[in-house]
Amino acid sequence: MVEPDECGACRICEVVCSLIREGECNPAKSRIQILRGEMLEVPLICQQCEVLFCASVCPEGAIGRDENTGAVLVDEKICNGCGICIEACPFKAVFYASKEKKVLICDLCRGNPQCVEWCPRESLQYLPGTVSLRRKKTKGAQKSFLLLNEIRRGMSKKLQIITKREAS
Amino acid sequence: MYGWQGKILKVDLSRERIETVPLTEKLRANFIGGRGINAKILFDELERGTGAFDPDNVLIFGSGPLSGTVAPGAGRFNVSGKSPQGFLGDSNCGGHWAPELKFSGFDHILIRGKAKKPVYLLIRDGETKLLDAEHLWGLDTWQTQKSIRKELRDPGVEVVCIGQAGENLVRLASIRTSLKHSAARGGMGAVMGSKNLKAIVVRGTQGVKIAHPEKFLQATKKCTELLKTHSFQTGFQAGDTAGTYGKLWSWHHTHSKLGTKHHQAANWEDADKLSPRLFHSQYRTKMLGDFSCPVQCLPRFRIKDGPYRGLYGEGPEFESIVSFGSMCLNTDLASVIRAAELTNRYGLDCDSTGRTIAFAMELYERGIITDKDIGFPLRWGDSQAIIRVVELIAKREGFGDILAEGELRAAQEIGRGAEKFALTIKGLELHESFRGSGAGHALSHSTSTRGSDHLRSSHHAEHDLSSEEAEKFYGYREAADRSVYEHKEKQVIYNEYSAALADMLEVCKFFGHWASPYCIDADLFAEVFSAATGIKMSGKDMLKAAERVYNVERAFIVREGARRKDDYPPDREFEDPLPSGPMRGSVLDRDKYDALLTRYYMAHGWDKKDGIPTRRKLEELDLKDVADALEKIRF
Repeated sequence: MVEPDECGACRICEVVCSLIREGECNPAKSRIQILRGEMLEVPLICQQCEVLFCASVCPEGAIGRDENTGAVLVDEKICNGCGICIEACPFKAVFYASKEKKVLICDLCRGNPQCVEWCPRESLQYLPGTVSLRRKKTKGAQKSFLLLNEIRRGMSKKLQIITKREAS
Repeated sequence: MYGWQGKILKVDLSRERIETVPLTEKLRANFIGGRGINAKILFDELERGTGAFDPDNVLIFGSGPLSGTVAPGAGRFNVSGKSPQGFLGDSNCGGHWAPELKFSGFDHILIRGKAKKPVYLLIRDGETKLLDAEHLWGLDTWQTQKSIRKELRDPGVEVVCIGQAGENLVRLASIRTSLKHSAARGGMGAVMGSKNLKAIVVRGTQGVKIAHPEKFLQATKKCTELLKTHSFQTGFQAGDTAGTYGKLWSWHHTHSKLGTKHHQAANWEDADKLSPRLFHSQYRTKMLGDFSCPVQCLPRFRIKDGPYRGLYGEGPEFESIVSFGSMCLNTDLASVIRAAELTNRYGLDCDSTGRTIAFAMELYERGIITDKDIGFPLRWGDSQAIIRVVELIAKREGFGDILAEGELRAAQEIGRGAEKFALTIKGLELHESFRGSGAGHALSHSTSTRGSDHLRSSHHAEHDLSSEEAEKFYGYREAADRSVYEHKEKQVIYNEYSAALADMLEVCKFFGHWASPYCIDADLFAEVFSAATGIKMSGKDMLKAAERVYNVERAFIVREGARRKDDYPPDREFEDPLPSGPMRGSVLDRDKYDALLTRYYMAHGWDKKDGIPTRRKLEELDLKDVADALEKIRF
């Protein structure tokens, strides 16, 4: 579950993710990234959609789900780094490691997500999939989506209205 | 290489030449990083007596071995050079710039010379370019960052830049990144402006390698757990005490060190009118953290009504509230925030700017300057006048042109006895008054290598510790007694090293012993450092390195002319008793301070007359080259 309102943009999640999964401190190789604009920030991380856009567009069939955790999983042996999934992701949560020529998608660290473990606030949470929590999760994802579009369009008054509405 | 990237970028703006030189093992092992390596490069590269605005002056940006990693608060960098205000210019800044510098492939940037026309430096993944900045000249720091991001089509680039103040060579100018982060004290923004360098833009995808990732994460976790349990840190996050403003406002007031009415007093009866409660309930929208900061003490605000409607930004920090609030007796919080926002945009040091305005207000009250000099009345508490003067200083217009020189030089220009009211140490505006707060406080600010400042050492035992705790941490009960002069040098020297250590690793000072003896100690820092870099060092070794750095800094300012007289508080601290508050009537004792200063020099192993580092001390610290250089000029 991602709550952008709680994110303090410290980017500990980025560094921890890249260090644990890729062996070095390098946000460019992280499976979670904080997009920062003036006066706002959005954690970009796979929202584990029910219908996987990324998997459905993958020409190689490299994207599937983990049987145990239900998390999205990229088969690195099959993935050729074409990047079509990056275009397809509505949350901009697919990243590209240019040196390795592969895409990075959060796989929830096989059920023990380290970004959640290290997040100093309650911006990132890993919770069981009950109905009410799922609704909350969707709300957080919606917020991320709207904020993302706002960053793309640049700061505007609309943003304040959206965040206010979400907060109430 | 682990930790460091191992590269210094050398830029000569006059010749438009850029080269990469390796960060030698000797520098890394002896000076660790950030402020430490900066200090040594500065000592080696700068010719004695070079003027601050001379093209030969250097401007060094330095990150540390932990920058870009997940070590707590490891997002900081230092900017060093000859200061336009005093001797050593060396300021520290947070934000997200330093990690991005590391990811772009460099640890330090050394800049000298002067560009023929405004330029900015772009560093992207090891590639470097000097680009035209004529279209950015004249923009404030927020506009500059926005324009550069737009022009490069990349929202992820990190920018340090100067505003109009730096361009206009205002001696109080700072270097800025993001909405409010600044390398402020000492006027390094003006040095950058004198080089026609508008900004340095970094972006990269080169990771920082860690020698022992598992050990490193364990040690880091230990640090964050420690910070979580201690009330000193948790107070920063919650409710009315959030941020430095919330946390420190009433604390300074209670301990008689709240800069009030240009240091005429150290308590303020109207302190409640600027209570952080008002800010947090009305303006604050969110708390943020710097890069890799687990504490997150930075507020973000938006003002929704009143004359300052629409104002937004990050901060304000405690220091801006003092500068434009209590120092000028201004009780209108929104106007204080507006003045702070202007310093952010223009690129000014809010500490020195607010204090210089308060200085002008005192001169106005005493009739030394009048409406004729300024163009309008400058009475205590006049919020509109304060905001106007900030603008005049940044643009060097009218009377602002004189104040832009800082208190010391402005007083010399004004004359008519104004010199008596200019409160500075080593040219830097007095940060706090010491009369009510203790001898250790006075010593720590006065001997600071960059001038009056609380960030080079600390004296927390005088306020925050009981006698038992003082004995436990400093070995003598009197450390906790603010009226005692004996032994105070030990506390000050220890915290000089703990502050320097944080700056060398480029982590936040609030996490180390500088802030409280219950925070991260040198041993734990050493554990994090060793796991990250693979270089085995104990806490003792780290403090030794910090001592080495402090000696190089002292040698630098001595070479530039600093002597005993520069290690004293302003005369007012010895002469005018505090007019109000619980410590009413107290002053510093000159004889006792004199003796304390001598003991301080001796405890450092320096010459006891002027505090000149001795050859013996320097050689003991493996600084033979520094001793040789000093010897050449002394006699």
